[in-house]
Amino acid sequence: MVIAFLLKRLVWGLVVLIAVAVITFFLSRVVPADPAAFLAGQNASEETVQRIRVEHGLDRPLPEQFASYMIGLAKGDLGESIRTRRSVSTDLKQYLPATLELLIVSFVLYLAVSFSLAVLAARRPGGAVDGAIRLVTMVGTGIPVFWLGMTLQFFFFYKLHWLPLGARFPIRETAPPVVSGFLLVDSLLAGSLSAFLASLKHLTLPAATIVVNLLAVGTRLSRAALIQEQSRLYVRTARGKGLSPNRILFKHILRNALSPILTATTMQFGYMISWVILVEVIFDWPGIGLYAYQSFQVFDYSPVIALAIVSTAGFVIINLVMDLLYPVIDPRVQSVGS
Amino acid sequence: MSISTQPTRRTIARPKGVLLPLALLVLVILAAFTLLPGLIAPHDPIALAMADRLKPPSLTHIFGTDEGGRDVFSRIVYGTRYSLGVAIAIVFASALFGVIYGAVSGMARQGIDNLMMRIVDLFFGFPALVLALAVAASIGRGLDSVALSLAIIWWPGYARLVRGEVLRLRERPHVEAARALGVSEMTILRRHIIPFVVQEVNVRVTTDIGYALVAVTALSFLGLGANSPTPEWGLLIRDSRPYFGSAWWYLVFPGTMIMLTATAFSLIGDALASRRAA
Repeated sequence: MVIAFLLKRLVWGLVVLIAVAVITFFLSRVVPADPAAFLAGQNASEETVQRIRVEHGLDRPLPEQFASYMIGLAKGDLGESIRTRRSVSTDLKQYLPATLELLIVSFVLYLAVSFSLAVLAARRPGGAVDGAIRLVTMVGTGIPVFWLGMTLQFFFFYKLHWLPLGARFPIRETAPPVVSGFLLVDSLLAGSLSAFLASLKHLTLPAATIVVNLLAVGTRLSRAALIQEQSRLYVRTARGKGLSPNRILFKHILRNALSPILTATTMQFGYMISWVILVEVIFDWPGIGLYAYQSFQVFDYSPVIALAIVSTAGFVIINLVMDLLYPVIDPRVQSVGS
Repeated sequence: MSISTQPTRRTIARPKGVLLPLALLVLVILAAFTLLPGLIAPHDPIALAMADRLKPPSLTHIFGTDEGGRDVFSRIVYGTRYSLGVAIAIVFASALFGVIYGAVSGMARQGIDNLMMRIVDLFFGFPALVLALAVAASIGRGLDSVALSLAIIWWPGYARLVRGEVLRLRERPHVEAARALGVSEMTILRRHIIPFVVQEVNVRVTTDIGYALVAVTALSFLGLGANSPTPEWGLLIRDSRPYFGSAWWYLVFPGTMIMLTATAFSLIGDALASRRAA
């Protein structure tokens, strides 16, 4: 049953990937009036455009172009960047670790904080803590993430001078040798505590921006799941037989509320992938979001298209992992199976 | 597998006390900004006045001035049309398309319904804003392309909501009675289903305008929307980047405006939802 369910999800993941490939093909080859000029960039000469047209096979019929586009994608060919004059996949390999480090740290922080807040709020729905959290989360959803990031920069860099304005590492110092690409890990591997602290300082504001932004929606959803679970009959039974409120919350309610919370969390990941671009731009964080941003500022669009493909692939993988987790945290899923 | 992540009705509390009147007040102010910017804004939003460059808030410039000496308050007032206007357009267009799509899907035979809903599911498999970014970048800059790209990622939410409502309503006694009387499916949809669906959609539309505003300003901030010197709110924040370290007002006021507007719409949406539940 579980295998059938997972197979189904796997096939679905493939469908999503093919769909995004079709959409990006459409966006890069069909929407622009002259795709070669589009690829060549704004200031390219007529000869360059012509060379690109032949090089990329843009003079051939669309179905043939589509076939070669899909074969290229399957091989990991994401086109070339005019700005960096390198293949986009090479560029992505260089910038991806920075993005992953930021995403992972933010997400772990977010989970911890959001969960604690939701538990606090659900303890006494309608109480003072709940009310305060509700107001904060409501205002939080309305804060534009880019503005929040800049406001944090204003206080912690311009006014207090506590944290750096941006980037991953002090410019004047040498970064530890690249092993994992994660500066936090690499600096520890190099045995340099000062490098570790420096990377941590650079990571603080970008991560805080993402966490605050996610918290707004996340806490609201987790709280709703917890409160809904609290009104179930088994909770009344547990109360009736005299279990302590803490035991009911942690042993009964939390375990049952976990799977809707997991679903909400998966959705959060989608938002996070989107917002991380803005955060990278504000904090000059050299990840794939900043890379794509700097590219389309000079009308170089292959990196943007590549970002759409790569982030969708990432999202598909996350969804699959979450699907694998459902039967683990909630055995009832196995019997449903579809 | 379907696990609902929507808060149930019971968990939506009616906003209490002063919050709702304040939200309505914000709405009135926004309407005034949109309809009568010329009467409210004390200065020209576009004309440069280099002598007044980056002046802090004062009686003549209550929100200070920008790097071109322009009055930030006037730029915000005139910007309402662009930022909020585009956000409302996106949500209305998505809701209209989503309602039609969802209603057709909900009334259609199972095979077609399934196919239509799989297409909607596809959109939830993409990181939405990245997709919008790629679309906006491909079709070229401008607020119109921001509007189109966001509408493309926005409608599936409505399609899903409406289809669910239609399926629920189809089993209601009043619809079955109409069917037994021989009323055509089209009329049932139009007279006995859609009116109920619309109430549900209204709540969502209200809340979504705030989110759409945040998305519009985000794409503008990235340089995909309006071009300078259009006083669009996201673009104002983008333009403030080199200066905000020493000119806080340039950053604070446009952002606060976005936040106030989004929160007001979300509060009013919650109020509508709790009134429907009551």
